[in-house]
Amino acid sequence: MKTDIFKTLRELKHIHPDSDYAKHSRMLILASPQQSPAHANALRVSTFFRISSIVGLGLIGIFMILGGTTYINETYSPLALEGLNHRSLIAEADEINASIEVTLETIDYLDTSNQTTLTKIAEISKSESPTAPAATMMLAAPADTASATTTTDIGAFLIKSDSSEISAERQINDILDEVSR
Amino acid sequence: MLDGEEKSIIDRAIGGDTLAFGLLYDKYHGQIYRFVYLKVSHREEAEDITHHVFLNAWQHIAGYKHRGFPFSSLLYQIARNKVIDHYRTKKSTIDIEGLHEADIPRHESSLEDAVHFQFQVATVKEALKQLKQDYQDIIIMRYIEELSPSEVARILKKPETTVRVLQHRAIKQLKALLNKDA
Repeated sequence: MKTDIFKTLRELKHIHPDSDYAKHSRMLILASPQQSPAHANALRVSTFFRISSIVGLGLIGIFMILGGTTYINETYSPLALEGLNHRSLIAEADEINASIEVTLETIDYLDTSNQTTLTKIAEISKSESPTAPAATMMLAAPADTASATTTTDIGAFLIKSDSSEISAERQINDILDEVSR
Repeated sequence: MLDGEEKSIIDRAIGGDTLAFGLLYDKYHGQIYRFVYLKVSHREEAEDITHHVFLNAWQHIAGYKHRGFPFSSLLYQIARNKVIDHYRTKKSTIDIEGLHEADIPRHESSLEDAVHFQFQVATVKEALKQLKQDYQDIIIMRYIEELSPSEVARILKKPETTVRVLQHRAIKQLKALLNKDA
């Protein structure tokens, strides 16, 4: 069988169609009208437009599906929770940043004002009582020696400053009363 | 029919000359019928498909451009597409019809030889049907119709080297199938 394959294949060339069928088919084909070149071109153009429109509609469809999916995802998806929303997370982080900055500024301000206050107190205490610079001593001296200074000096200084403020306020109030009369 | 002569016949057929197309029909009808018949293995279906191949060629011949290849290239291409369409629309029944007695003329000396030969042909035909479509096409065109590799390459729209490789594989597979059956 191995050696006969090509011979057998060649023998298949002797297969012939039925002659009656062949004559009938030939007659039918030649009796049918031939397509004109203009018609063939028109058909080609219409096919082109048909394919183009199908592709175009397909692309529009894909675009709409993608757009719709994105919209639904952003609007109705459980992933669109406020806590998971990218934009709201950024806004929240910005807000936290701003509040931290404000707090730091406040701390800085308080620290500076505290230093200024202490300097002023030291100056005042120096000018008021050269022998007992309580606040200066507190600032300048180490903790153990500062504790040795009398707290009464500081108390007297604070009471004095408060009373001077009150008297100043009273004076202002008196002037305002006179003006109002 | 020489190449130049065929070209002038094609040109006349393009111009609507039915006699010219009749000549092309007479020349190629047999081989296209064989090609289709070996692929569908059913006489009536092969006749029907072959008829549509030539009808299609006649109706669209106005758009044909002669590029130096025989007219059969176009006919084979149409036939291949028609066979594919045939299998796409009708998958259920593949009739393994035995060869019709009138298909192959008996020229063996004795009845025994004739029976043996018919059996061989039927076996090869059945094995051929088990091959891939491309392999079937190549074997039919190269070994039955004895077309050149360049013509087969043109019909199958593949490079000539690919056709040679496919041809080798097709024959190898056909031999394997026949040995398995034997």
